[in-house]
Amino acid sequence: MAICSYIVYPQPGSRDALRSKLTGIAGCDVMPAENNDVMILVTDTNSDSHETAVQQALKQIPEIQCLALTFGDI
Amino acid sequence: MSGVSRRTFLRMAAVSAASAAATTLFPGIVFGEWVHSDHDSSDVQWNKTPCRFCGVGCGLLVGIAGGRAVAVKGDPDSPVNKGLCCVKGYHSVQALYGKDRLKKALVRKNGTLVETPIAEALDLVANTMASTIKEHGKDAVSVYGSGQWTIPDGYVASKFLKGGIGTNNLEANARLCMASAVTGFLTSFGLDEPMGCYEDIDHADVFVLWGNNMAEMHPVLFSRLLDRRRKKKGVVIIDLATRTTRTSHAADKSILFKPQTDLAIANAICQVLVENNWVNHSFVQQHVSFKAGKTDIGYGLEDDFTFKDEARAVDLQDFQAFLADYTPEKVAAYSGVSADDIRYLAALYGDPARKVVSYWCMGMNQHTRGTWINNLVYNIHLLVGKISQPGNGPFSLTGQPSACGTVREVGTLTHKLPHGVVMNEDDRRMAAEIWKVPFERIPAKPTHHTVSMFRALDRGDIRFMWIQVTNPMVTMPKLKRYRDGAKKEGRFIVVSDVYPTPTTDIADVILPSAMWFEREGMFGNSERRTQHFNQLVAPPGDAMSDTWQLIEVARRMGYGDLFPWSYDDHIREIWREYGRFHDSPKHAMAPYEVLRQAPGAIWPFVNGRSTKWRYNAAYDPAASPGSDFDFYGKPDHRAWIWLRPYEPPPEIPDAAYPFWLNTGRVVEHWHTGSMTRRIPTLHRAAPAAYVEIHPHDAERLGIRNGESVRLVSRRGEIIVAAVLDGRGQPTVGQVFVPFFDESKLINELTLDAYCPISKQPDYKKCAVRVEKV
Ligand code: SF4
Repeated sequence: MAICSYIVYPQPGSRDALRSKLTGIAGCDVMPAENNDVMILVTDTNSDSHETAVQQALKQIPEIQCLALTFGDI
Repeated sequence: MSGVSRRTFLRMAAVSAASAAATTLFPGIVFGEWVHSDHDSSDVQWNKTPCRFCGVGCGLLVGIAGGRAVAVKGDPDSPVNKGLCCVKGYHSVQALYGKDRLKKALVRKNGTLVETPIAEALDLVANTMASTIKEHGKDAVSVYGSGQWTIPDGYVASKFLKGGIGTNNLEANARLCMASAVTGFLTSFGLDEPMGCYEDIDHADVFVLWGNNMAEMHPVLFSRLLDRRRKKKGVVIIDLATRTTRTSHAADKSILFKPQTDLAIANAICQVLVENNWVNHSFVQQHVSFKAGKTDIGYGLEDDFTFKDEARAVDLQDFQAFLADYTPEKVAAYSGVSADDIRYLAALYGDPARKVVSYWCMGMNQHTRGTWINNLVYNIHLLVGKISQPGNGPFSLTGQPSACGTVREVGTLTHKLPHGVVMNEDDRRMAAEIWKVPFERIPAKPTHHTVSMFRALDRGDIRFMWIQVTNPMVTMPKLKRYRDGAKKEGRFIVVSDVYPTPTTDIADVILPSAMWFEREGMFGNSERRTQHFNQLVAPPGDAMSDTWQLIEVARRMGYGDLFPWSYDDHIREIWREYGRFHDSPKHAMAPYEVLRQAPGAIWPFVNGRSTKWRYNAAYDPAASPGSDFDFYGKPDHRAWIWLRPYEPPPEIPDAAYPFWLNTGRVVEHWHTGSMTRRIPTLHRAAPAAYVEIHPHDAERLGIRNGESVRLVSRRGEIIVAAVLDGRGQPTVGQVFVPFFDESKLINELTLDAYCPISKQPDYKKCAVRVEKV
């Protein structure tokens, strides 16, 4: 039952691939910057197991260079 | 809050936090659409409104669920922001829901503020206003409003004070931010407000920012500048300023000048234009007159100060001779700007192949020669004929959301009427006819501008002051005098606001106000765009719109016939009545029905169309047919180039007070922070005021980053944390302090000197000492 937001830094050259991987995860919304490679990610999960699954999925995306948490309401 | 709306609210807060962080990390960053959205949006109704905060006037869509504002996004249909928002806009609706929101009227009884039914509080306000008038005369009562007033608020205040009571004791805080822009426009063009619009950004090749940290103060417009540069090769942004800011870092060139020498730099640019024959002679011959005014005009530091300028006709040869004192080399010697950089700027303005827009805001307006520096930048554009065309023009930006719409257009200043000025008999007759009041009731003499009004309160000439939507006990310069004056025995202060502030601290009565879209209203932004908003949610408790508070008190005082409207239709009826003041192609306002539908309309609104470029016959129906340009605001149908010299400020650093003090805003906070400091993300991002010091000065004084220092001027002192290499960096010998923090009142130190023409104080220059604590 958590809502978090992050600034996501992609690995160089992998912005579009990262974006499509993130949007493929249930509970993830992405807002890409128009003039920068970074994007805003909002995760909105409905249970502890959902939250764990999202965190696991994020860890397995090689295109993520860095995730910076900016908001968390757990 | 329902489960759905709470969740949506949290999502919004999450997005806001991320965008705030991203804006801090990457100034000018622009976010696009959500790529994958599974919001619970079915329960959310989206409604248009202009942003509550700055004068850019972005169009927002506010999501309402369960009677509460739960989300906000940029309105893609708004030509202002095209769907963008800044960090304040994204967080704006949270400002409605601070824990200590004022919901009940408070009346001071035996020194303590006591909750009181609002009808009783309004009775007390009306009775006290009436008894003050009876005892001390009608000029003993006053209303001090705001550029954050809606247009109906300001209109009702003007009708009540000038048409009802018969006093010109009406002022607004826009005197502190825009008055020099107004007098600059009036003296150069005869009519107020910019000739161009934001669409200029989509056509310009060069942007010169005169003392304007646009990246923080007008962030969405600055994003549009960056976008223009990204899309068009050769576009350049020049930051001409007294300190290095986020704007400087994003600009193509940063040019630093010494405080006050912008006057000399503008003249030097003209000197180079004339010397190189880059003058557009046919434009100047057809459309320009040359004038000289008084010099050595003082600074308004004395209570009995008066000044009246006089225009004397001169010609191009006189102008050329005047400019001899402003060669790049001579100006470089005291401005700190190299002769090469002055020539570079002149070449940008002078190149016929490049379109140039100049932007400015407080740097030029809060200036003891504010009117002059506005005139001087107009001079540059007029000399080269780069004005009133798409992509070419001087553009004075405004700070507050309705400084233009309410204060400048409605005329909520002592000398103004909704059309024209009180000194003009025809303007008074027009007001008397529309208001259906005796002509003799509207006084022909202005009384007090803002600084003078607070001085009159201190002296006891004014006994009653009603302050709405502004926080003068944080913003007045030389604050101690005016706070002590307001607290004196025999003064009665009413404050209408949404949160407790240092100004409500001195109030005898506090009236809880309905905020933003808790009521219906209109704002007018920097580009002459009027934007309407509906009431979208109910105000909390007894909170009431400022418009309706004024009407309630006016009715109690016997002026009910001036305000015959019902609550349901009063905004529409006010708009229709107000529109009669501007019923001409020079200033026609869009009809109420148009404003309700459209994302704003730019006046003059003629034949169903906004006028984007005034004075240009291709766009402006008021310009004489057959002419290319017609500066119809002046009797000679010409714009005036003014010979205005460099004159120093009244207080400059010396051995006892060796630093310049500059004050201003930060992107996260709106003005005194009374709203934005209650938004957790914004408060966390900028929790306290600080003083920016150049590292060399800090080293010399043994001050380390984060250490407390004492700032002392001839008027007061505060203790703040030092910031070295922060978001902004002053030059050696200068410090900067933002004014959003009511626990660190920097205006205890500032000086109440003002431009003698506009009466606008200078918050950018006074002398202070820095002491390690
Ligand atoms: S730039 Fe100004 S008007 Fe636009 S969202 Fe930000 S504060 Fe509001």
